[in-house]
Amino acid sequence: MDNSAKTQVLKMQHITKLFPGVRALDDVELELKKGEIHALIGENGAGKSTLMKILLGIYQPDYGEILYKGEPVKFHQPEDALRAGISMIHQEISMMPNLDVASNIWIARERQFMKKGLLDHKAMHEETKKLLDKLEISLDPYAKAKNLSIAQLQMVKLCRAISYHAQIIVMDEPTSALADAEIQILYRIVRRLVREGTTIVFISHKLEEIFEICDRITIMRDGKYIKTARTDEMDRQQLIALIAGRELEDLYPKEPVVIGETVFEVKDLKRDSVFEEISFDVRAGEVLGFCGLVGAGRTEIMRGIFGIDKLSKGTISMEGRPVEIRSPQDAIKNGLGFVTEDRLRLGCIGKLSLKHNMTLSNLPAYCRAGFINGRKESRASADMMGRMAIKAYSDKQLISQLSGGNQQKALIGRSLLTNPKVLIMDEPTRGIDVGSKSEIYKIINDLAKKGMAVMVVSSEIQELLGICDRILVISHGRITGEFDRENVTQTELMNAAFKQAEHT
Amino acid sequence: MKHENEMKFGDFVLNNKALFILTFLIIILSCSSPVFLTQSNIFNVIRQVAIGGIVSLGFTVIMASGCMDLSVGNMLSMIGVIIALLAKIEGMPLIVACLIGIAVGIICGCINATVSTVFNLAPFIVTLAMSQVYNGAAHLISNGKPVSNLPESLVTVGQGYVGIIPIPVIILFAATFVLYLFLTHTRIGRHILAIGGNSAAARVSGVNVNRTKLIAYVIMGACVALAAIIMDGRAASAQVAAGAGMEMDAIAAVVIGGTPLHGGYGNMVGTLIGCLIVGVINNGLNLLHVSSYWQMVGKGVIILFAIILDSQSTKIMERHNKGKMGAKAA
Repeated sequence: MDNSAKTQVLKMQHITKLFPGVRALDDVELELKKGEIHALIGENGAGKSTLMKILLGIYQPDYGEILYKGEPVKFHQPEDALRAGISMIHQEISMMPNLDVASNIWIARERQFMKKGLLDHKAMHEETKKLLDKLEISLDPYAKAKNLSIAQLQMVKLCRAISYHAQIIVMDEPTSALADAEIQILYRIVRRLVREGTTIVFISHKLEEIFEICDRITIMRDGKYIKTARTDEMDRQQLIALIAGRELEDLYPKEPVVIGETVFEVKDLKRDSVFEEISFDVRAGEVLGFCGLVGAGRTEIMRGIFGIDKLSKGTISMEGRPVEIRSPQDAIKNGLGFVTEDRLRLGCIGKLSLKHNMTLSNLPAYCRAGFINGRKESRASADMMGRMAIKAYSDKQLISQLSGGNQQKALIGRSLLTNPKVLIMDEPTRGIDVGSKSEIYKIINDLAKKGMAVMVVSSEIQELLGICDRILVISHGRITGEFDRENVTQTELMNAAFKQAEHT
Repeated sequence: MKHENEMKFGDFVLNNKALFILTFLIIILSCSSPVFLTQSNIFNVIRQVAIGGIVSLGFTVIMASGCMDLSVGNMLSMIGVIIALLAKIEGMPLIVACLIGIAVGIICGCINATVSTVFNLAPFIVTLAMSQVYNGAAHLISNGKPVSNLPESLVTVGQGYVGIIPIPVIILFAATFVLYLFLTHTRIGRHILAIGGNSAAARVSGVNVNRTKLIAYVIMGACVALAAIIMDGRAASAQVAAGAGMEMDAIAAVVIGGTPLHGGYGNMVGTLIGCLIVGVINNGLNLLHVSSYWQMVGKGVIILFAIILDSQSTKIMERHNKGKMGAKAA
């Protein structure tokens, strides 16, 4: 296939989007040609999903323009983009579980099947059958969505997108929940669509997949456009270098720390059908990294340790003595701290102030007979605000009004106020700007220097290499590798994490 | 600079809109009825709202925690009947009857909370069902008949005065103060706001979510029992359906007072003002000789108006804050 001959269907240029405190997109461009599969890649927080939300009319750009088939367009809401033939298959399953396949596909567009004011079910199901046959998908239009597998639901989503006569379909990590055989079916359908002139934007973290199916690649990093290139002109190493980008030493201020005694140890942890045989220890002053693909079970292991989910078996010891952890309260009492990956759902309490969010885990320390000593609380909050360098008008500001980076620092502060001996940080820099990132790395460094044991889960391998002393690789709920920071390169680690997942 | 001051005043109005609505109503009614602004009429209004007011204060705790309790109306009737029957027993000191009533309220709260947390059910449904249980229990206990001829001491609680101030008014203000302190200055109060704001995050932060919910419902039950004592005293009898529909009045007062329906924030003083708004409207319409049917319609419309005002002003505030943030980012 000769790409240069294909005509341009969409061009986004100079796209800039500001969020409070963050430049989410900075002069980004994207060019799509008719009938190509175009990979959009970058780390978490690189701005891919923001760019796609602008394309789909969910966000409005602060600056920049979109040319669609040569004409400048403005999509004020998702319906505008849909009507123009641009649709997206989101990662989350957005189906009405109690409706059947046909109803899910034609939802909100039943009018075309109306006969004398009533819905003509037969016509709708026949139309669905035609669509399914055309795509060679074997699915029953009458099957209820709740009885379908994830792969089948993906197919239904794809049908829904196609039924809008979409000319551009954005697929956000479409294969992340699929098994190999199902992925092959998806590829077949995608290739077929492309042959008929549809353009696919393929967002994925799996490099193999990008090399297998995509024609061109656009790389983004930290909200900026980096490069667009043909897949056959790139190799894996070049691509990794472009995704990671910066020089490691600049961003990661890792300093040598004297590593002390073992403070925390887990043996043979298991949660049924999620993870098993998890044993490791962490020593004072050590930063232990957890590497692996999304869905490998890293977050779940941390949740199990912290008492958020129930473990099926295993022992946890703190400074040599076994401890019983049945709830986050137990974990905090025993000297554990946890900073979640999911700031919105499990971290911030949006309606409370910055101060009240930070002191929440350590309230008893400021209380006498159940009454909060306001002065003590304010002092603790002001101290922590200074220590974390949190930027806010005052600590009475609602946490929901702060930028992601400041929220993250506040949540770290919440944990640190309880004086933990072991701190678990799950994706500590997800979705925050580069400046805050490097500040958080400094915080982690300082904590290690003071003798805290820190566990860091991250999907950014260069981040782990930059800040950890030791790195464990998790794949399919098991520990599949252990590396010292000195003896491993980014490529080795990346290869390990990717390969192990693909073998099983 | 001037602009900033204006915005600050705007914030103040938006944050205290219930107070402004109340002031507005008082001014209007003072102008249209000479009786309105007399001492006896003012105490009369507050005394009338005392029963619903105390229930609404408890309800503020429930709503701040993100829960719901639709059983308070029938619970109020049931505890009213229980206290009345106990108080009538020869030789039973009033305080014992009241304490048993409060204990019953606390037990009802425990049942409401435990059923919903153990089986992980929506409090809305659980308390709707429990409401029927309390209703039935009230009828069973009283045989469906009103309990009258209550002892003088109980009637005093509802109708008596300390100096010139009616006793229910004192209880209402004391309860407002205590619950205000509880919600803003205690650890459990903070936990209630935290679980109302984001219960999953509160749990990860070490808050015992189930126990906190239990405490919220216990406070609700105790408030209902306190209201039941005043209700018995004021009417000098206990009616089997005296509290029916009280939950709706409570929700209205709490929302008018500025506590959101979905929790995370609670405004006790706002709730008190919310109750007074409803009371002043009823009183004013009475003074102006508006028929009671029209009063019902008017009350509904005013509640709706207050809620619309609330949601719109929240939007205005969000837009305003966003503007501030944007200005800073640029």
